[in-house]
Parts: sequence; C-alpha cells; structure tokens
Amino acid sequence: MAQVVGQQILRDPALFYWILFPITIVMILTGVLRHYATLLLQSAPKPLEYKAIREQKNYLHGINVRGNANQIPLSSFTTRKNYLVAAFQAGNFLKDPDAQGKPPANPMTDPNGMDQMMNMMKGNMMMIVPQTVIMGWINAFFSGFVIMKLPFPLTIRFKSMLQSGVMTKDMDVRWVSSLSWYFLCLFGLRSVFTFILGNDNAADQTMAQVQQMNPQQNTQQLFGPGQDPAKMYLAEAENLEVMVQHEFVLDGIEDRILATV
Amino acid sequence: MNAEERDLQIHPIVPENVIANSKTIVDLHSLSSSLLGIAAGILGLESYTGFLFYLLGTLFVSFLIITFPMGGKPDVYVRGGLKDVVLADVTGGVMGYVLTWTLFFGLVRV
Amino acid sequence: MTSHDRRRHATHRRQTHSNQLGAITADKNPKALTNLIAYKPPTHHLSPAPGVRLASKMSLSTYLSRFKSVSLTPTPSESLSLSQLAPSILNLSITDTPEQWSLYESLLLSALRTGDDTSARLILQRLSDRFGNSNARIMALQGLFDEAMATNNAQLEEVLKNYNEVLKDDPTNVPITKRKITLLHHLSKKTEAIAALTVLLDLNPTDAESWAQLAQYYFELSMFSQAIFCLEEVLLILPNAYNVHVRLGEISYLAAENSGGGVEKFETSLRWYLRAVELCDRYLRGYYGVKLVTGKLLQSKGTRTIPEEKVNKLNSVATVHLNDIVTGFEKGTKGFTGYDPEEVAAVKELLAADDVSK
Repeated sequence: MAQVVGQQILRDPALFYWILFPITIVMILTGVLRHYATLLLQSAPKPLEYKAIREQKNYLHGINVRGNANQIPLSSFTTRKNYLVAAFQAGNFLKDPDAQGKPPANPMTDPNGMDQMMNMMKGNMMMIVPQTVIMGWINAFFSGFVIMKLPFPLTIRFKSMLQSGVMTKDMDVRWVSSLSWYFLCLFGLRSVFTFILGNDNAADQTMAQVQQMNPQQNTQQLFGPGQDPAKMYLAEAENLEVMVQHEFVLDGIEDRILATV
Repeated sequence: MNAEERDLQIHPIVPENVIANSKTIVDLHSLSSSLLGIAAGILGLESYTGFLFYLLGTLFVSFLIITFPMGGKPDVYVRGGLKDVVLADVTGGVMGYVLTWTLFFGLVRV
Repeated sequence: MTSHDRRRHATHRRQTHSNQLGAITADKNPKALTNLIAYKPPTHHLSPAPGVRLASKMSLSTYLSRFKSVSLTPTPSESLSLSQLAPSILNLSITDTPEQWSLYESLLLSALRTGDDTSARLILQRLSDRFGNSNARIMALQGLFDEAMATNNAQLEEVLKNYNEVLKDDPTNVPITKRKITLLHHLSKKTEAIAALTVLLDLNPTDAESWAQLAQYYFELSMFSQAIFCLEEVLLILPNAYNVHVRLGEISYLAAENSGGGVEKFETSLRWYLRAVELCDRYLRGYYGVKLVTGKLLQSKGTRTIPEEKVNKLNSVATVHLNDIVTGFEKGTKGFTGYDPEEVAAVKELLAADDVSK
C-alpha cells in the first residue's frame, strides 16, 4: 500500500446499533414497500374497443409475416404479401379511415395518452419521494457522526460528500458519515432485493395472474400517443414490398438431416 | 441473409431460456459477491487486496458455474459464451460486494 | 439429449401448448367439450403421474405438479384420478396465489370431464367470488359449466343464445367468442363455426390458437389447402412449433394421397416432417412421418427432386430412431418416457409392416 494510514478513531459501538442498523433496515423496508406500492398504484390498462384492437393486431400481423417469412414457402408468402400490401395501403384496418392525414391528437388531451403519462409519473414518484424523505431523515437525525471506515482509499474529492456535516479538515477520507452508508445501501442493496423479492417474481406474478384473468391482452398500447397509425401502416406496407430475399427454411433440409447423422 | 442469420433460423434460440439462464447466473453472482464481501470484511482486507479478492472470487465462481451446471460448455447455455458468464451483472456484483465488505469491515474492527 | 435440449423443447411445448393437436381433435365424450381456453402445458415427454393416490395432506405445489404431469387431453382414467383430488384441494385454505387459481381452473375442467358437478359448482363459485362475474375468463368458465350441465341440444341452444347476448354487448370478449365457436361446431353448424372463427381472426390475426383451430375445422371438411394455409399462419406466429410442422406434414400427406399423389407433393410433406425432427429430436410423430413418407416415395414412380439414395438413407435414419424410441419406451429409459402408448403401438405396427415387406 502506498500510504499507511495512522489515524485511529475510537468509536462508540452504540453508533452501530443506533445509526447503521436503523438506516440499513429502513432502506430494505422502503425497498420492499416501494415494490408493493408500485404494484398497487399500477392501474389496469383500459380495455380497448373493437376497432382499436383490430387496428393493432393487424399491424402486428404484418410484422409477423415479415419477420417469419422464411418459415413458409415462397408462393404462400407472396400471396400474403400481395394481400397485406394492398390492404395496408388502402387503410382497411384503420380505426377511423377518415382521420387519415389529419394531425394526430394532442397527447395532452388524448385520454389514452394521459393514462400512460400518469403511469409514468407514478413510477417516478415512487422512486423520488422515498429517496428524498430518507435523505432528509438521515440529514436531520444522523448528520455529524463519523460511523465507519471504508476498507478502501478514496481521493480527497469525495471528502465533502462523504464527510458532510463533519467539519474536520485533516481527517482521512476513509472515515465516512452516515450519509455515505445511505449511498452504499442505495447502490448495493439491489442484490439483496433480488433475494427478498425473488427476482421481482413474487409480486410480478400476481400482476401476471390478474392480467391472465383479464385475458384479452389487447390492452397494450402499440401505437403510442401522437403516432399516426395510417402512416405506420403505409411504412409497414413498404417494408413488406421491398423485402426481396426469401429463403425457405425447408430448402435442403434433407441434406441437413443426413449431415447430422 | 448471411450465414449467421440462416443458422439462427435453422437452429432457433429460445428467448425464454436465454433469459432464464442469464437470470440464474446473475443470481449466483450477486449471492456469491455478497458472501465474498462478508468474507473480505471479516478477513479485514483493505483496498487493492480487497478488490483482488473479489476478482479471484468471481472468477472462481464463474469457473464453478461453467464446470458443474454447464458441463464445461458455456456456449450451449449462454449466447456470449464464457464472457457472458464471467461478466454477468458486474456492476451490481461489485456494489453488493462493497456494501457487505464495508459493513463487516466496520462491524469486526470497531 | 442434454439438459439444454430438454429445456429447449420444453419451451417449444410451452409456446405451442394452445394449439396442441390433441386438444383440437374432437372428443366423443359429451362432457368433455373441446376446450378452447385450455392453458395447461402439455407434458408430452414427462412421465405420467403415478396412479396411486397419496393420502390427504399434500401441498399446493404437489397438486400442481400432478396436474401438469397429465397431457392436455387426459384419458378418462387420468381425468378421474385428477378430479378425485377435488375435495382435498378445496379443503386447502385459499391463499390467493396465482398457482392456486390456475389449479382451481384445471380442477374445474377435470371435474366437468368426470361429471363431478358439485365440486365444479363450488370451484366456479369461488373463482367468480374472487374475480367477479363480469371477468371475461370467468364468463367463459361459467359458459363451459352451463354447456356441461346441458342434457340436450335445446339447452345447448339456450347457452348459445346467452353467448350471443354477451357478445352483442361486448364484441371484444374473446373467451366467450371462442366458446361460441366451439359450441357451434359441437352443434354441427360447422360452416357457421368457421365463419365466426374468420371474424375472430379478422379482429386478431396474431392468435395462433384460433388459426390452429380453423385449420382443424377445415381439415375435418377435407379442405386441405385451406387447412395448410391456416397452419402456415400459425408458423408465422410460432416459427419453432414443431408439432405444427408435423401437422403440416400430415395434412400435406393426406392431401397428396387424396389427389392421387404426385411425387412432388409427398416430398413437400417429407420436408415438413424433417423440419419437425430437426427442431425436436426424438419426436415420435416426426420420425413416424418421415418413415411413412419415405416408404411411399420409394414405391412411387416419377421424377424426384430428392435422389432415391437420400430417400433410402432418410428411411433408415427414421427406422433407427423409431426403434430407439420403442425400445427406450418399453424399458423406461430416462428421456424416453411419456410417449403416448397408442402412438408407440402405431410405430411398432409400421416397423413390423416394413419388416414383412422386406
């Protein structure tokens, strides 16, 4: 080691019981709480109406046909391609064909867009609110204590951050205050949460089940707010049309099978 | 279509399995890095020795993963092969290691 | 087969469980209506559950694995052994976990299959208490229950009317639409069923289950090219579904036979079978098809695109694999259990016929 640190500070073991452990436990509990609160706040997406489902699913169908074209014979693919390109260009699957060319609805007034934005906001709130609250709590109660020594050296620049509230000029950066333990927890507890919340599965599956019971799966928004489905359909038609290469997977399969024996 | 794409269509890779496998590896790594942190803290390792300990520990765990459940053939289970086994979620692992290392370092050496 | 392979195949099965061919074939037992909302993963290669019933206290997971060990179209005795679990499962405290509810659903189906109406009623009651009567899936289960309770066609027509009422209010109710289609088919209104199914597919052309079902309906009417079209659609959605490849092989084979059979058509069928075998080794139906079609090709005359020597080789490859499967299955070797005994018997027959002709 380049520098031998001679500084020794005697600490009261009570610091551990009354600062380190409370912070750790509070951090873990907030993590768990946040997890379940997020689940609770997630509003079930609104079921779509018939035409909207049709619009989305047919668009997906076009993507599927393009993506897995090599699984079917060339003639079958060409038939589908011709049909889909014609239908897409004519706008047969659009929710309201008359709206073509009109500017897309303002996402702020579109109820579907509002829904999505609300969900995003809820997610962000669940992250920010607890963090600010806990940081405030730590600053209010535990600032000014030197609670532990880091097992690795840091540059002097970290001093202001890790020793905030401790006004000692000459103290080694390795001695840190309670707020640094908070930061360590913030970044390092993720693996702990994986064990507690089981890879996010325990809770996620409940949601999955509710969705399963809500079987239409038509609820996801394929077209985000502000996107024009008519334009996306036209683009997809073009994609299908320009797809020239088609290699049927079954071609030469007998040689492949014989080669593996 | 290039040869790689064609090969992928002939012998498809099932995305669910890829996800499940990498999840298992990440889990093993985060568990083992937390445990390594505890060990390092109790041993009282400092600075570079500590990080070296982590490095060796992770390599050893990766070696075990490759040898035992994978039977020495990582390419069959993970798309990136060896690299993806060793480097799975390194940042998360280091963070977890530092956390437990610091905690136990402080606890043992008051 | 390495464990990786097994996992890979397990996933394939999961991907395609909704269009398992077994589930689609009509069942003669009126209680066992063809089940469109089936979700139980078929466990083709897993060993069947032991016939012995364990005494009382088992955990939820034990019951779940019992249910999972039975295929999507259980034999009557399998259904019976499952539905006999009803009292003990219903006695477990309700934990409101996803597993428990999916267990309830499987149990409801077996109870209906075996005519255990009291249990079925109770299960349905609990499900609708939890998820509400207006939940589309619960509505479909309720409909399934009503269908099973009906004793004659007039009552079934009544159920059908109910479905139509529901669909008038909410045309996006997919489970009820599917029940309606199955019921129409059951009432021998095949063309109406097909028409309703095409409407459903116009709404959602990315539903593999519906395409597979439509293929089956067309197949029953011997409209082979339409059936093949539908199965190709399934492949566009689930490109790795080897059972669909085999089905394509089977239908192309039948179509070739029906139309007097050009060599070319048999070759198409052979290729589908080969692809299925490529995706899933030890796939009994796949190798059976390879053996069958290569045998046919060797007999028939005409210009081949696949040289005779290769066809011969493929035939012997299939024979080797089928022999492996039969001996492995009979000895109960690991990795060879869980085949359908009837299918294995059919393989033996085919192999024996082959020996005689030589």
